[in-house]
Amino acid sequence: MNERKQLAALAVFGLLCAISPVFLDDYKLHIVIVSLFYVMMASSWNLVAGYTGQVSFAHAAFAGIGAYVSGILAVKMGIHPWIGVLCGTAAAGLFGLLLGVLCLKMGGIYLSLTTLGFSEILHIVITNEYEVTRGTMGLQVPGLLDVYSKAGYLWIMLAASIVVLVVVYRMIHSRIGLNFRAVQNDETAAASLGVDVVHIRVLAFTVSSLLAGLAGGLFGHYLLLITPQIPSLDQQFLVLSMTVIGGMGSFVGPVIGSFVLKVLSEYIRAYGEYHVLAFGIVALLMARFAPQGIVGVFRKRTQG
Amino acid sequence: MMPLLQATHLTRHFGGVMALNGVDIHLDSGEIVGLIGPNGAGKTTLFNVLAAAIPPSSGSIRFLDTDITGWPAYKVSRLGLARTFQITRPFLKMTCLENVLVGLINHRPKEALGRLQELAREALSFVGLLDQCDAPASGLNLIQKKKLEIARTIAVRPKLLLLDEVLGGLNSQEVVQAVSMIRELQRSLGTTILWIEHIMGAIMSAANRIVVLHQGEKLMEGTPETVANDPRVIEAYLGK
Repeated sequence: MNERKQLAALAVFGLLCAISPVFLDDYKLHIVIVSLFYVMMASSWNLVAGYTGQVSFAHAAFAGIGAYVSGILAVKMGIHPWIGVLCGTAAAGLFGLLLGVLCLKMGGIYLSLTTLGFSEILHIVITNEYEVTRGTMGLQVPGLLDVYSKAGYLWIMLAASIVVLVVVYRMIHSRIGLNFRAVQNDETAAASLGVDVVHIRVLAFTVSSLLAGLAGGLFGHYLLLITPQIPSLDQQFLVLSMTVIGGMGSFVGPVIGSFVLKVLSEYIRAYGEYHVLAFGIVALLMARFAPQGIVGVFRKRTQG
Repeated sequence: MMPLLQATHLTRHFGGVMALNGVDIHLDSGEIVGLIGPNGAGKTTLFNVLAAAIPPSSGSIRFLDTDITGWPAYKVSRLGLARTFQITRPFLKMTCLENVLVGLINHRPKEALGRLQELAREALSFVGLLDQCDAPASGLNLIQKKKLEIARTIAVRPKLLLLDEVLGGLNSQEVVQAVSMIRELQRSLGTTILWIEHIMGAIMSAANRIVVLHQGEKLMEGTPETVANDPRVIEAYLGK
């Protein structure tokens, strides 16, 4: 499948999502909404991991920052959720920028280690700062809509997903995207040709964190209850699995991975929380035997 | 006239190993200078220091009347100093055209993309790779990879080009072609070239001047004839 066909398929799928309230019940709509949250998460994580080759473990943490900043602003200060989401998005971007500047100079494994640490610290702080975050009890927050409606939230999440996908698409098809790929392919060679490697990495990381903040902020106000589950490593590994299984470094891969894994996890829910483990193993196997994910397997099939 | 590049007393050690020990080297505009020396003489280390891939332990580098000591590699590149790698480093998962475009978009950020693609094609055509334009670099053979490496560097029209053993692995006919290509580069664009090479015949015929490194120090420099007949050089290569 060439890129144009992929985009067309994506557009059709988006349209299908948009009209899904006509033929899906509330429970199934919920699954689509959650899947759309993961589409935003996986696609923005892919921007860093798939296109610049930097594995960040703080992506769920940035979603958590988006959700908690927006939620706390609404609960403590009565700020309208829409404005709160914008603040949460900005806060996630700012944290991304700071963390990026701090550790992206070192490159390689150091980003992974630092983000893993950051993610755990954030999780602990949120769990323990009971006064502000209500810890594991969760923070009850107001919704984005005056009248609760699954269809309404679906459209909001769909619109936000489209925004995220457009941002990612435009970036990877611009000069910046070319620099991203050069850095991923060989950073020494890239630097020798005039690519400011650190700047490019920080840029990718900041934009990616910002988009995670947006996803988290919106998701929190959909769930109406924000818990430390959002910025957890479980969540992080689920996003990682979705990207790797869907197809890291491809545009549609994370979208496919998000829907496939979310729907699957509903089916195997009966077996408890093992699905993250199962997905982790599948992701590992895919990384070894089909590194381009579902998209790559399809591409091979169609090319014969 | 100020030399194009003036490196003074460059020293670089890795732990206890002195890879470069107080090397002075200057390059005048438009020269082709050969850099020779036995294995381990410090030739590639000198390249890495000049192109800012690694910082010198001490010493200074002036290029185009600017002190570039301690600059990051990308800034040195943007100023007009390009280098090839002894072991080629193409962006494997990108097409040949994209490989060449990377340098162009960073050197000329304001130029329209269409114009840059044109320049990239010109560079590919100069090295004879135009037919591979849209092919991924991973599919190229060794010689094509070397050509791509040269196309990438010359596309941005560097003032100074560091060539690291671009002739290695070529047969005698290809060597002749490559040498005439590099001379053409110097003639038509006025590019100054510092060239590490082990194929003596080629470098002796192409260079205006030869610098000999031995055990991290500059052994001597001079015209190809003087260097070729100097007993110290013969000794460095063959032993006493």
